Amino acid sequence: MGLKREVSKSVWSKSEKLQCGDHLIDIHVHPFLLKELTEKRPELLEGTKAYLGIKISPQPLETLVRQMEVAGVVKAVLLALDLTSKLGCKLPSNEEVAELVRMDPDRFIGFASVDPLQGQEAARQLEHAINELGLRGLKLHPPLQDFEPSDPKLRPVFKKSEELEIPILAHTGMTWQRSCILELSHPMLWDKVAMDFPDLKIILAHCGWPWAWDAAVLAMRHPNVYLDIANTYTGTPSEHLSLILTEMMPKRIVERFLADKLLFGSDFPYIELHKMAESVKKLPIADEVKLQILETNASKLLGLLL
Amino acid sequence: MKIFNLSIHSRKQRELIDITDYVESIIRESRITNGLVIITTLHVTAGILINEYEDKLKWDILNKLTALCASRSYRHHRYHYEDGRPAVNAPSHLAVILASQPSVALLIENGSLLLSRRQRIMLLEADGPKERSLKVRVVEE
Repeated sequence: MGLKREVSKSVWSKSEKLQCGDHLIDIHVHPFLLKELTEKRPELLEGTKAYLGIKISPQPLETLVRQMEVAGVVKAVLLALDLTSKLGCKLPSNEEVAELVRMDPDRFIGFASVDPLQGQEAARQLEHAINELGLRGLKLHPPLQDFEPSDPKLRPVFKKSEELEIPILAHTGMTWQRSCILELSHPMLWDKVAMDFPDLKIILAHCGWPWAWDAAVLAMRHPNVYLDIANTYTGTPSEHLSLILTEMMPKRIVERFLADKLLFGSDFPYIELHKMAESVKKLPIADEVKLQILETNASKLLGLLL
Repeated sequence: MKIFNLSIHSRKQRELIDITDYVESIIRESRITNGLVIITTLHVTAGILINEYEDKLKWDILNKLTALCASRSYRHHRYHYEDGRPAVNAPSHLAVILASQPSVALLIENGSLLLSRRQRIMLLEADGPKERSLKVRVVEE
């Protein structure tokens, strides 16, 4: 693939000239089945099995690191998930994510999670996670956390995120969990939030599939709305990304309207990082757009470019 | 009979890892001088094979497996409620079925594995990188 180009200003390493196309940023990594966490807190295993439905064996953090190396991923965003109100658990907690980030701060960025229905208390917890634990974004999951994004109770959390200048990564689109209300993950529910909080950067996960067009028009309409491409719902990563980014949406829409809004994500451990990365590199879209998806957009969003 | 756990951490999506020295070490630790060693993987996308561990041959084996099992429209590639995630690795399963076994038994003579000069025990990793678990049973004659 013709994905290589040189950039001179980046935080990736100390060298002055760096190769692009192998300095990917994965915006969507779940650490709940890493041995470093499950061996300390075995209820993580029960929680992920019961509430997320995932039943694979835990792997050590080193497996994630090695998958990053194979994929060319240099930064991975580790996500907390606070399900306190609905399910009484955290998969994992902000403190656990912060602990993983401390193990390899050059490689990992942590996103906090709070239960947004807790209003001001959630805003206080978020401030603590950002200012004291060093986390750099907020993960929300409307169907699992059982909220509607337009619920006024959530305004303190959105206001605090805007004030702290952190992005929100929100689950949108398909969820296989039948205990969740799927309607709560419709991307269009974020339209009013994007309007009311214009300085709040909102990432709609999974391109909102099967409502990919709805997610796309929000990203086209709002400067503060982004899309991540994590997970594969309809086949292999190549099959699914081709469906969303070349069949459902014509190439011209992706290249003209979404090139600076799409972010690479794997959804590890659901999908291995290198499988998702390879599928992006094979997409029949312009190479410079692939680079934006894989590296540039996330580095700008996360403030990693110098 | 003595049972040992062996953990192997692969580094690539597909690779052959020589585990002969680990098995020899386990045999020494067992202090069993004549009998059988049975090596078992607890995986469906990693298996065991015995052959020559030579760089170009390893490349040929992996290259041929990749070509034979290249992604097509496999019916396995859909959401699996049993695992709680999508299955996207039919080629990995097929590679393991074609080229390896989940378990192999070898003879121990005078405290050593009975292997020819060129034979080595390899773990075929077909869906890495991952930490893989093996059981090694050493049975006295």
